[in-house]
This record gives sequence, structure tokens and C-alpha cells, in this order.
Amino acid sequence: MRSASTLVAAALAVGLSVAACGGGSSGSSGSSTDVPEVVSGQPSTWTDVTVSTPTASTDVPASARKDLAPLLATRVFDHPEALSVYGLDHPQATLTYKGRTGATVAVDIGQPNFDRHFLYMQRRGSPVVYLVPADAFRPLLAMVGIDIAPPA
Amino acid sequence: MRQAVTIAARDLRATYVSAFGIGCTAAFAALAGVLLVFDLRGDQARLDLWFSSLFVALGLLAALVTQRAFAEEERSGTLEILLTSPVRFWQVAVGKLFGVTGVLLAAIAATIVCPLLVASMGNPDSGPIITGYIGLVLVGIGFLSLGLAVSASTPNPLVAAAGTAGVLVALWLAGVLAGGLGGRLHVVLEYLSPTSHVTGFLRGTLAVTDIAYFLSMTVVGIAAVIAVLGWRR
Amino acid sequence: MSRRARRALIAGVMLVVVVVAGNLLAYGHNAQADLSATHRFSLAPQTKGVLDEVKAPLKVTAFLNNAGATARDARFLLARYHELNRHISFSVVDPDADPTAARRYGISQYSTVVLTYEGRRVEAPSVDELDISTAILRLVRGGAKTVCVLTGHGEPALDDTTGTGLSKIGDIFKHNAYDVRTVDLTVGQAVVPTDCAALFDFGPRDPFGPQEVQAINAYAKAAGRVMLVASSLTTADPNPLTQPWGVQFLGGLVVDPQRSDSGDPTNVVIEDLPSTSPVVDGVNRLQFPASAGLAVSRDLREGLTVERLAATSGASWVESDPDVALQFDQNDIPGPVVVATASDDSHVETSGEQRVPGGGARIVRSRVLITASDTWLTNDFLDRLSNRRFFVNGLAWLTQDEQLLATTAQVSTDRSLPLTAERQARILVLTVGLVPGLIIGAGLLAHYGFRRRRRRSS
Repeated sequence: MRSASTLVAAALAVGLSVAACGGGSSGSSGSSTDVPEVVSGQPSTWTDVTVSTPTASTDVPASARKDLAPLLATRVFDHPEALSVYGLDHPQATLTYKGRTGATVAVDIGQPNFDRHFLYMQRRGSPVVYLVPADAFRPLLAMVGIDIAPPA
Repeated sequence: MRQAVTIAARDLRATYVSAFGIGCTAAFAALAGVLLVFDLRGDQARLDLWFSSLFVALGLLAALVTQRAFAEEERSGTLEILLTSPVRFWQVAVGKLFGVTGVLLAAIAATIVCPLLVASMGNPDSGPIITGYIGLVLVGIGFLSLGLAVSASTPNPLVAAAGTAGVLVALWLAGVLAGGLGGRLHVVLEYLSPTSHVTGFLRGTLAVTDIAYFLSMTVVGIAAVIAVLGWRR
Repeated sequence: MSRRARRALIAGVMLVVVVVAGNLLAYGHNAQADLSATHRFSLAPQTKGVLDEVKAPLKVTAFLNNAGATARDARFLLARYHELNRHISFSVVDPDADPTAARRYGISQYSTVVLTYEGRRVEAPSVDELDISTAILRLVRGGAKTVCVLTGHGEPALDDTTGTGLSKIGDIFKHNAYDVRTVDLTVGQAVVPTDCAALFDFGPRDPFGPQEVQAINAYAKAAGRVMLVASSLTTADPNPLTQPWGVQFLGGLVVDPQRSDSGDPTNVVIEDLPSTSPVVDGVNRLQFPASAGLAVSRDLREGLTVERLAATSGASWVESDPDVALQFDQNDIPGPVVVATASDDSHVETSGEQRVPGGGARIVRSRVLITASDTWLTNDFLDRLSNRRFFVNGLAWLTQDEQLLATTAQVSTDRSLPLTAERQARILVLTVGLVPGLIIGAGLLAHYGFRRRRRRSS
């Protein structure tokens, strides 16, 4: 039993360490060396980038792609609330990246945050919600008829 | 008191001669290091999150360290000898507490490299570090005394560990329940929860209420050990 | 029951009584030693006095980024308020993580703190002791103060949500338990109501008539509180209203090539805030687009003090002819240029005291806050730099009889520590590798030493 209790102690300590390592931080931007990426890769990685709504779609000009690839987030919510809170249950637009192999990555664009400096976004297929600076998206969304009011 | 010290010394030697004590202390130190990396991710030289995580880890340490205090002795047959010897129950209880506190202090001491590292890299406020460590000792001793009471009640070390964890979770739940209630019940339940008493240590203050709470926890735990031993005899 | 069991029961009961009594005693005293560097979690005696007045549930909701150190400090500070008065409850809400709550409370900025008490609501501009305690003081005083806003001269409206409107100012009044009454002195009898806690004129475009000037000055002189937001982009000359308070409105347009925004030298950024007035507490910089200049009179009457609240840089000037060219010439006034002032006039009247039986002499105190730009508090600019803070401070200074003056709270020192990959590695190597390794090594040595001793003794 002495060795069993030792084993229990070791197992629990290892388990705690793994849990501490494995558990993500919610709402944290991580250390200063770690900027979260919604979509990684430089502009040259993608052959096409389009922004679309249910009624309109347009290609993102090459000059604007530098702000979209990599698509960097300011904050990450690993365990977000219901998507309706962020406007991601009915996204107002979708950003679609098409790679050289033909594979696509879709990023849904939700509502602005409370002070309208950021937009909520979610990569399709992932539960994580990102907060992305809205400035680069205002002109893009205007191209498909969506007007995001300037910050408060 | 001499008998209590003798019991403590014997237990401490037994713990550190075996892999268990070394393993616990080393694992706690390693865990503290891992937690430090995660809790410094706000890019601030502050250790309040780290201490907050360590308070939770203390609960685990208390459960592990105290599981052997009585249950192991009972399994190996030495408890009966101890209880029938001329040593009084309070001496046994206090001696056991001193013994496990020695393990606690060694584990806490092993974490001291963490604030020293942070101080070498940044400019942390030393006040919350001092109160954080005082808090770790007070909270740890309180948890240990509860763990000893549970350990004295059962011959099975695993049940003792689980029971200690259960008691601590129950106290934590009191604080959770308090959030949904109002009036005097809210005040009482909130007071019973250890989480409402560690905030002071984290921010750099030593509040009389917090110190009184954990000292009371220690006294109640030791009294429970004495009562259980008396009942068992 | 055996004698032993009875003794055990009595001992148990006594123990419970002692433990409970000890904790009750400790709970009632709330004493603590604060070892933090700035002692910011030891609240000032004035704060404790204010907290004693809270007799019903008071909720504090702080909207902060949860990931930051500010949120943690906020929890620590608000926990102390809760410890001193259990009627006070608090929560820290991350407006990005919980946008529903942010919308419900009408929050548009981080660090907004909403306090509610007995159906009233007040906002504090930050989570520090002075702001929170001042907000609590305002709440527990009860009743809403009335602020009067002048109209009739083309002033922007408080319900105007466009960029040039003042709806955000309207929100500040609403969220801080102020009732707003509009006063039009151009219609009917020109008299400012005496129950106005303060009178505001937000950028008149048309001139004041002589009766209006007389009415406003009469109000101000009778312990009135006035805020004049002037501008040279109008035909209204505010000097009849400013000169009685030791301030001359220079007109013109301030040009500051050294401190301006977006390449427009008339979009002036103010960094010189030379006053110790509470109006500039917590104010770091201001943005005053299209500002005129002010000058403080050298000969002030007895009892009148004028604080120069904000001034432009030494490279600035007041351009007298901005339509021609923005270039300094002999007609212009060189900087630094004062763009905001606070006049405080106290004098003694031989009678009129109503707060004590028997009356007697009383001190009459007038306060006038003047800014030479009217754009800084429009919706487009109020949230730039510290503009909002400046307005909220000014509002408090004008409308409050007392203000919490002394506090032990101080802004925390910067303790940034970027956690680079190298630092992470160093921490892990030492704390997960070296220290546990040493412990295990010491343990092994002790273990083998013990075994050798046992072998020798056997």
C-alpha cells in the first residue's frame, strides 16, 4: 500500500500538471510572443480570398490581403458563450480562403464588440471565437453592402 | 510536548526516507514551476494568480500527505501500539500535525525559486509575495488538520485522501452556494468557504478574519482528531 | 451518558463557542495589515465613512478585460469594499466575453464601472478608490441633482447621436443620477432657476443678449456653478461671461504643429496640465480640435483664483486670421496657449447661513469652468484621450459640495514582464528540472545513507 499511495501521489501530480498544460486560457491573448492566428500563412499561400454574404460576394483585392493573411486576433475565447451573443449564429459575412491545393478555409464574421473596435469571428468547424481588429474589415465589408459603424 | 515532537520527528523521517515524501515535494515544486509559466502569461511580474493556483494544489497535497498519517499506521498495525501507549491523544494529534506540517513546509520551501526567478526578471511587489507565503502556510496547516481528522476516521488511505478532498470541496461549494443566496445565510456560507479568505493573501494584506478562519480550521481539525481517536479507543 | 462522554460533549461545545466567538470578533473588526507597495487596498478613513452610510444592497459592476492585471486589482479592491460593508456586492465583467451585459448596461468603454443603489445608477470612470468612493457618495446622498443646459443659441442637442451631437454627454448625465433641464433665456423672463446644481452652455453659435448675460452672471455670482464651452467658430462672444471670472476669451484658432493629431495642426493635443485642480485628476492628455485661446487676467479680485487647467506647447500660437494662412506672424499670439480654466470665487456674506440654527455669516462659492473648444466633447471626440475623464471631473467639481480629497490609493507601478520563450524555458528548466532533481537527489542520498546505517547497525 505504501507503493500504491506513492503511485497515487505521482499520478495525481502528473495529472494536475497535464491538466494545467492542457487547459487553455480563456480570453487571454497569451504571452507577448504568441499572437493568436485565426488563419495562418502569408498572402501568397492563398490563391483566392473572397468576402461574401448571402446576397453578395466579392474577391478581396491583392493589396488588401496583407491584413487578412495571416489573420491575427487580439483575443481568443476558448470556451465562448452561445454564438448568438457574438452574432455568429447568423454571421453577417464569411471570409473564404482558397489554397493552392484547392482546400478552403471559411471564417464567419459576427457582430462588432461593445466599443466597435473589434469583430467577433469564428473559423468554421472550430468552437473557438476570436476578436479581430475591425479597421481592416470596414472597407471590405462595405464592398458587400455591410456598414460597420465607427468605434464608439 | 516532547512526545508530540518525537512523533513528528518519527513521521517526518519515515516520510522522507521513502519515495513518497521526496516524490510529493519534488512533484509540488515541479507543479509550481509549470503553474508559474501559465500564470505569468499576463506579461506582468505578479504572482497572485500563481499563489491562487497553489492554494488549490495545497488541497491536493493535504489529501495526499495526510492519507498516510493514521490510515497507514493502522494498516501496518502501529496505530494500536501508539494509541495504547502512555501518549495522550492531543499529543498524538499535535505530533501528527507537526509531522505533516514539516512536509508542507518543505514543499512550500521548494517553490521559493519561483518568486526569486520572477524578481530576477522583473519588478514584482514583494508585499503580496510575503503574504502569499504566509497564506500558503496558514491555509496548508488548516487543510492538513482537516485531512488528519479524516485520516483518523478510516483505515483506508485512499478513502482518507478522497474524504479530505471531499471535505475541502464541500467547503468550497459553500462559497458557490452563497452566491445564489441573500441575507445572513449568504454571509455565513461565504465565511465558511476558504476561497473568500485567500483574497487578502493574494493582494498583499493580512486580515484578522482570514488568520482567525484558518487558525479555527486548524483547531477544529485537531479537536476532531482527538475526538475520533477517543471514540475509536 | 458516561462521565467521559459528558466531559467530551462539554469540551466540544466550549470549543465551538470559542471558535465562533473568535471568528465573530475578528469579523466585526475587519482589521488588516497592508503589505502591498502602494497600500492601495487599505481604504482611506473617508471611504470607510462613506461605506458606513450604505444601508441597502449596492452593486458594483466593473467592465474590464478579464485577462489584464487591472481586472485582478479591481477584484482585490472591490473585495475590500465588500469586506467593510457586506451590503456592497461586486462583479467584474469582461465586455468582450459578455457583450450582452455590456449592451444591457450601455457600456461603450473599458474601465467603466456601474454602481446601482436603491434604483439609482451612477458610473465611475475607473476602478480606483477615489472614483468608486465618490460614486458611492453620490449614490447614498439620495435624490438626483438637476443640471441645467442652455439652449436658444444654436447649441448642439443632448439627444443628437451624430458625430457633432452631444448624446454621449447626455448619457453621462443620465448614468450619474443627474436630471437635465433645458433653459432658454431667450424666451420669457431671463432667469436661471436657483435649483440648478450647475449651468452648462455647450458651444453657443449665436450671441447672447444683454439680459441673458446678466441672468447668467447673476446666477454664477450667487454661488452658481457654470461651464462655458466656447468656440471662435461662432459669432457668440463669450467675454461678457468669462471676464467677470478673470478669464479673457482671445478668439482666433490655436495652431500647434508640435502636438496635434492626424497632421492637422489645429487638431491640438494637450499634454501640459499644470494645475493640481481635481478637474485634471487622472487626465493625461486631451484633444481639443479647433480651439481658441484664453488668457488669465493678472489682476484678480480678492477671493478669486483661476487655475490654468490645460495649455498647448511652446511651439503653438493663436492664429488671428486662420482663413488666410496658418503661419505665425506679428498679428498672432505666441504660445503656450491656455485652452481651459477653472475659476473659483469665494467670499463671505454677513448673513444667510442655513445649515446651523441662528444663521449667521456664510461663505458663497462660485465656480466657473471654461474651455476654448466646443468640439472636444462632441460624440466624435469625447472618447479621445482623456476628454471624457476631463468632463466627468469637471461635472463633479461643479456639482458637488464635497469631494473626497485624501486617499491612500495610488496608481500601481508598472510591473511589466514580457514572458519571452527564453524566459519560459529558463523557468521550466530551473523549476521543473533542477529543483525537483536536487530534491530527488537529496532524497536518494538520504535513503542510501539510511540503508547503509541500518546495515551497519544490524
